[in-house]
Amino acid sequence: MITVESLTKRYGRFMALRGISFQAESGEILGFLGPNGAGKTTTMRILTGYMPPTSGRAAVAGYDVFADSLEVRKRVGYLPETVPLYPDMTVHGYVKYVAELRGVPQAASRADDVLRLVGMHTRRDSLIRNISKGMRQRVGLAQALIHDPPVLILDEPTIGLDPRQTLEVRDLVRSLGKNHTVMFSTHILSEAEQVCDRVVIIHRGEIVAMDKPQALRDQLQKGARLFVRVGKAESAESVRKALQNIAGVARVEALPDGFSVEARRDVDVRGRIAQAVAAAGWELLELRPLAMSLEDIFLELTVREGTNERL
Amino acid sequence: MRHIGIIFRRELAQYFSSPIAYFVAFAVLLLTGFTFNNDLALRNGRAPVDPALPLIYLAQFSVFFVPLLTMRLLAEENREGTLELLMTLPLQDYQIVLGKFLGAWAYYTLLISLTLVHQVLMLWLNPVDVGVAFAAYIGLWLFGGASIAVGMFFSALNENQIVAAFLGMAALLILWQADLVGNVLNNRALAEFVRSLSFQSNYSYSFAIGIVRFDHTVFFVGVMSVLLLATAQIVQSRRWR
Amino acid sequence: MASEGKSQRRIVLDRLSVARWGSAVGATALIVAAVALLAGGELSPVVVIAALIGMGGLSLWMTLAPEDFRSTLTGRRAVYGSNSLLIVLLFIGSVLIVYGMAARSGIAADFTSRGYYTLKANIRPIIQQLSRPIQITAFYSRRLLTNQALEAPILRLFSDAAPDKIRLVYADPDAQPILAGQFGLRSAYGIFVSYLDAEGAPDPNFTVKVLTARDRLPDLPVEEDYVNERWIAEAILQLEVRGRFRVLFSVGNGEVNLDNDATGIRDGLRAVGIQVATLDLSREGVPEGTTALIILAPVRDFSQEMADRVAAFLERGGKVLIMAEPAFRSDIRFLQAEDSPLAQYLWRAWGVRPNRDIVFDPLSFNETQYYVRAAQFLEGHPIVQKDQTGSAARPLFPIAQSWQLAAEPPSEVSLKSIYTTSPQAFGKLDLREVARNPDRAIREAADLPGPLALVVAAENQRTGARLLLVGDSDWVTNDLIVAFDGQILWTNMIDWLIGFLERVTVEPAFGQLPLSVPSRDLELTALITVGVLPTAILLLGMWVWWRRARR
Repeated sequence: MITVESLTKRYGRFMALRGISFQAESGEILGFLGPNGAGKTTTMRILTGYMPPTSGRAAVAGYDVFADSLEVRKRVGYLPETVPLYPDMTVHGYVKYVAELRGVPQAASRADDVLRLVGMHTRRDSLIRNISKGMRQRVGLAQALIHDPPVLILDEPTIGLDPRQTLEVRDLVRSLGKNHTVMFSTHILSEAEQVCDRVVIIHRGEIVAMDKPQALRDQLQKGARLFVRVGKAESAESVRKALQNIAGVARVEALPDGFSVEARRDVDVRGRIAQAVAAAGWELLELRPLAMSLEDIFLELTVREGTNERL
Repeated sequence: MRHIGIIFRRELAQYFSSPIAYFVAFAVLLLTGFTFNNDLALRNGRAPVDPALPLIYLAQFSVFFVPLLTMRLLAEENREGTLELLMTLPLQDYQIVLGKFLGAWAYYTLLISLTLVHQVLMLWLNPVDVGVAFAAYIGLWLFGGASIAVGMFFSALNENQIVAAFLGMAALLILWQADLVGNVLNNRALAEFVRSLSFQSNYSYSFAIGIVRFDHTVFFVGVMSVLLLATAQIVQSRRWR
Repeated sequence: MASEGKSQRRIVLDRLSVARWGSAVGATALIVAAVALLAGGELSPVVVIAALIGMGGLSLWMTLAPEDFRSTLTGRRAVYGSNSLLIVLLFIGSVLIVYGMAARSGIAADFTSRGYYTLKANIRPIIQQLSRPIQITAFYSRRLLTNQALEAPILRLFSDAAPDKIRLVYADPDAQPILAGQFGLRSAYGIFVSYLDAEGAPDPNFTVKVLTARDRLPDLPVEEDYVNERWIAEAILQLEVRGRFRVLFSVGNGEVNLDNDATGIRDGLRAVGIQVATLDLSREGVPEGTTALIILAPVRDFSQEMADRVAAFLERGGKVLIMAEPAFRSDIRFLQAEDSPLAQYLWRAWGVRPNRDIVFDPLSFNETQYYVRAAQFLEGHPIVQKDQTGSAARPLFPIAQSWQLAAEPPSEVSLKSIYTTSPQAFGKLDLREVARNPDRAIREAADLPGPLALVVAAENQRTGARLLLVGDSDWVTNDLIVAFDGQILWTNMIDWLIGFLERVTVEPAFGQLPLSVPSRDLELTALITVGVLPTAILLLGMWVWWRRARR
């Protein structure tokens, strides 16, 4: 459904995209993961025909985004990063406006349906300037869904939403993914994990990883750091020593409320830690992966690739 | 055509749902009213009433208020990100430009039609030449369209509304005052050419004296269409820049 | 990324950036050169230097960064950019072509209720029946471009009515001083109509200046000068009569000296294209091809032979203007004797004769009451018409005699008294007494009672001859002609004699009345336009704002 081949984009001297290639199949939810400035928005803007690539090719549903822009735009629902809203319009008026421009039949009732879908129809007559950020995000989403497009491109749809709304939007995207191709960007790893069939990680205009979320997580978290909290121990030092002695543990660091355990690569030490703690007669209060920030992951990924090259 | 109509309706509705348009109309009417009454007082007992007069004032004020109406047309969309929406909808770029232009022009038309009140009052005070008034209205309407196209052009060039308004005003002021170019330029052929581009010479000495000339009509329609084309090209340039 | 930016900023003067700066400077310089060339209209040093800098900058770009140059010219941006630039330019070009065609077509709708921008019905045939193609040359200096624009629709009326016959050319007297010199133009503004010579250029020998408002009101600043439709039509008619009309002034009998005292009227006739010459009636008769004979108050009376020659001319349908002074000096004998042959002929053939008096009008000009300001005039007669509003010229006749009109003139003659004195005036017949006591003019029983005819026009319906008699000649001298409508009267007389005024006469148009209303009405107007209307809009705006805040 979406094909991107060695796409580059240059803004003056700044290379925003350095030749990325990926594909998204029909009915697939593709997560686009990366920190701010990685090139997510640029890629999406190119895919929606808003701006041209400097070189390379991008196609949606078989149409080239540059040569057949109009055909592409007909088939894409797009929620840009800054939600494109007219503050002086009512919620319903706005969605209906987009519906009319998209040539959706029975624009008014379709707008109501979509607003119900995103849970905004109770505020259908409010002025957009008077609704909250999360609501605006949902109105923007409604706009993107209005023509039931085969391809949905959502640029950070959950940003600025409260946790409940975030969950709702994730559910929505998941349900849409059943019969649409969805490409959505985020900088939250767990979100990508929960929602996507496949994740593309992009950093500094380059794809650094592309895989199923499970595989990606395993790949990343093997050898990742774990957080361990132990109760009923005599001293912190004894716990540290005990953990250090577990086979496969590379390094242990004391944190104010627990320990950070770094395992050797490709070794899962969680079971051994539990056993060791139980064996010492302590209580294992907490054992969880120490959440890696995205920067850490990228650091990890880039470093790993660097080492691979050296190997 | 359908798309143009939808955008046109939204633009026009936008003017009526935001207070700014009312304040602009208020200021313009107040200003026109002052100059109009001042002029009537000066003429009383001395000279006949000229029905084109409030319209010439209105044309002069257009130099300043039309950019205020047009500055947001594209600059705001650009800044607020809504241009990204419009440009990723299955619309031709010229449809966006044309719809917005027609919306602004319709608002302008309503605004100048408010001065029909002045015309009725003049008819009541002194029998004026209705034919001259009619020609002057046709001219003012075309004048406004051309001014809006100028303002819109700068709105497309610029993301900043204030800069767009300022550039629009500067351009319209030059186009208005180009009438006096003969006092400045040594090259007469160029002076005449520049002068023929002057909005004032194509309006105040043509429509406003009661004659609708084909060439002056072509002038305003031409300025409108050239600038609209250029504006559409600027908007479209995003797709290949 | 920050470090990357910094490192790039450090190497400012690499090849590429020098090349790009060169291209930018070069492009700017080329634009400056083009603007300077257009504005100055010549290859000034500024233009040359800017062009050289421009070319230098561009070649710097080409040599230092040939790849950048090539990709700029062939890349997608260049292709699409030049494409859309080309589209815009092509469109501008086609708009300009349509504009040019529209300007040439001259199609216009005149919405004025008085049809101010429509050629009058009586002028149109004159234009369409022109004997030869003409050129209207309109001079406006650069400062008068606005005047040019205002007058263009009027000038266009003529060239549009007969595009094959009339060519309209604008010229700048400052830019084309030689051309202006050919037309004898010395000011910033002037409009001329000319026949074309063999080469198609305006023929200076067949050129008539359109009289402007300033020619009529010399105090008018040149910025406010203007012409109207009628004056242009008059000039065209004058051109058409040029060479066709020949006016002879009688000389040799002590007439008013054309080379000295009355050069103005002679030059005025020449200026409007009438051939002027002199004729000594004592030597020869009025030659063929003479349109009019003008006899300007001779001192000596005409002999029988001379009177016969005048009579013969009139019998052929000639036009004669006679001015005769009263005999306030003893040497003035013209028409004074009872048996004056010319006077007898006039009475016999035309039913009019001199009263041989001096007119005294107590209601007249107050300097001396012998200066008779014409009090009554024949309303509507072309000779008295002053302007398009229909008001009449009121000439002054210093020391005049009056004319006696026969109660029953010859049947084929129509006789009209054009200007007469007031009824209180009287003609003193004792000229010696007047000469002795010029300030004590008292009406005596013997005096002729007013009103007395001062200017008489007669026309013979059979022959078409026209005779115009004026009881004074001083008013045509250079000193007096400019005062008291003298010029207008003179022009009108010649027009009437030659007979083209009727063709040009534009019906008096009644201008709009000035606004005249009580201040109460103006206050109401102000209340509505400054008060009610804007306030209503403001309230509407506030209501929208208030409603919006609640949603």
